[in-house]
Amino acid sequence: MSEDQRKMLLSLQIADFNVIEWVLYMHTHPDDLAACQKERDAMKIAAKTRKSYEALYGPLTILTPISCSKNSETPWPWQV
Amino acid sequence: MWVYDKKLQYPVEVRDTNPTLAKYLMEQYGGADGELAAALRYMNQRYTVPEKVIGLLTDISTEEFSHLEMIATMIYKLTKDATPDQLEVAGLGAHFVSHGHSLFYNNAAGVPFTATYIQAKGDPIADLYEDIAAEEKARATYQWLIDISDDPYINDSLRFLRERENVHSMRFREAVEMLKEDQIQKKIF
Repeated sequence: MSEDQRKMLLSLQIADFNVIEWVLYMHTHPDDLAACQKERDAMKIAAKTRKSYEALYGPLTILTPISCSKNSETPWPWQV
Repeated sequence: MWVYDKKLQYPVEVRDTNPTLAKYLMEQYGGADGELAAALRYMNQRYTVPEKVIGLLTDISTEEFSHLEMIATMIYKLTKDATPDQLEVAGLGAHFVSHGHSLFYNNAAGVPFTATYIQAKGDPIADLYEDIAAEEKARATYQWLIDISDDPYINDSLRFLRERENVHSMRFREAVEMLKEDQIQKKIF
């Protein structure tokens, strides 16, 4: 995996982790409106980061539309 | 349903072959307070808890599976290039004879995983207290692993996982308080 890809993967891991953390927090703080706004922002950033990563390096889940002429080159996590 | 995401939750970097450390990490793979036990415990309890904590159990269980994948990645990478001799010296001779270079749901002492490690009592307070205890035990295990390991890259990932146990414990404690408040207001589920 190239250094550029590794860096971008890391920013996606960070963005997705932010979402996980806000979602757990909101389960036990459902009335925290300021946190809810931050959760929404985190989700937007994660979606954007994922889109740019997948555009360059291939799909991460089966829900991402694929190109029929190109095989997925994203490595398995234990190969990174 | 679940959709697999082809990435780890947090990076795992392994530079050296170290079957001894891999053997210790198996405690968090197939041990009593390990990630598999945690994931299966919460995923099974969620059907019989009050509506407002189902989402929390589902999301934490899902995260535990991603931690299981991180632990598996560490064990795999620490042992993949080890010779049978190196595995034997590390105490993994019997593991090699039974499983080759495969991973298996054993604890650090080679005892296979059993469902008796987990419980579901049909009582949300009893279940959530077990969950808090499980997170604290897993946190302690991560601390002992960090203390015994001299691999700075593995320790970085282990510190992340140790902190997640703290966060999960905190969320479970808040869930208990939410249920207690409902109990005081005599809500019927």
